[in-house]
Amino acid sequence: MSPSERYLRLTALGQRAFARGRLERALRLFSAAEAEARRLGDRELEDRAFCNRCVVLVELDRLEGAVGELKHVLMRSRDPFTAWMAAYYTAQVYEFEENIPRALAYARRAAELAEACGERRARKGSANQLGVLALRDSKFEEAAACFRTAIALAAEDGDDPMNLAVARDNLGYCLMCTAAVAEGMALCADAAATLEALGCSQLLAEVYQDLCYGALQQGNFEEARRHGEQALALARRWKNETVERNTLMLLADAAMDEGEQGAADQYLERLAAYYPDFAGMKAFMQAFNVREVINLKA
Amino acid sequence: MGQRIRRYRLERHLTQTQLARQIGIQQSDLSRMEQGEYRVPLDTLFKILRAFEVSFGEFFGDLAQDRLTERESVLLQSFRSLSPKAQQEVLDFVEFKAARARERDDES
Repeated sequence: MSPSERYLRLTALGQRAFARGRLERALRLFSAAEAEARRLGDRELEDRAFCNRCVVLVELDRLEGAVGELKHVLMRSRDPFTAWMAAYYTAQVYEFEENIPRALAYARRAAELAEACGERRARKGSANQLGVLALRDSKFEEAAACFRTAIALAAEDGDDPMNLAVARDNLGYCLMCTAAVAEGMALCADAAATLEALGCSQLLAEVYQDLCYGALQQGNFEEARRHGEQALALARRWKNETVERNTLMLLADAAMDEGEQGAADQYLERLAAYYPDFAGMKAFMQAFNVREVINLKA
Repeated sequence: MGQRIRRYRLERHLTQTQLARQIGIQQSDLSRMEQGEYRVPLDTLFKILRAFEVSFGEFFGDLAQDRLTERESVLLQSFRSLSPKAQQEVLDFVEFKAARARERDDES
């Protein structure tokens, strides 16, 4: 077997191991492919192999140390797909580091490269990544446009319904934040139905949280409470503290808007347990419509 | 809220960069927050208050009257359903009661 055949074989085996969730094996195989590419003296191939390895490193939460090399690959690679991978994963590193503006900058570069290389998976991945980052950055209109693109591409390809549902939920929340609440609610309800049918209860907590927010925006407090209680139960089951805190805040808001001070106090007391050094939280929540300044997905 | 954050930051002679570093966000995000263009996670809101070393009451004190209690809401709804003449009578009566209360306070 020639070195280039060995490279292709190792890459194919790595991809198969990755698809089966055998991440450490995939990592070893992609590393071996990278070494093979190095022996061949083919820089482009070596860079592609390195990017393949990064796909696994992301899943293993070990991508942090790779950012320097990713930037080098982005600068030197003439292959648009390899350059796209480098930009995409650089954005991912910055997202993990909570440096959202920098992550957005690389994600935008990745989106340009995705268009240049014309690969659907790159366009789809970039649209979703840009959407998530723009959403975290409170750029709701930009995020909505990206999610629409990602959903359209994914739907055409018949993608995993779970990923599609998550994207629909994200788009729904963006629309709720840009005053298109009814359309947003419909998308989130659709996402909830899909995730219910798939039995993805871990992901449902956030969707119900969003539905609670949307119902509140529509002034439908009973519905808000129903969704909020569903979100709360799932968030506690899956130990999702962010959703639990957000939902307690939303439920307290709903109860206050309904004039049910006793119920509001109960939610606020549970929320206050997360912030023991902040006395006067109740007064604050009563005084301030906090849901207008909070990004539930930041 | 953005204006409030800006006011507290300036009172404490903090630059946007200094405050952003304290609360762990980018300066550009803080700038957008001060302009009301940026929504924050709940935790960040608490970090901001911690950075200013103020309580909710201090930070949002003058907003405490913005949200009506249930009784106040009922009163307002009823008031709005009245004719202008009846509304004026209610206002006169409330003013009369408030004046009596002030007199009692002065006497005591």
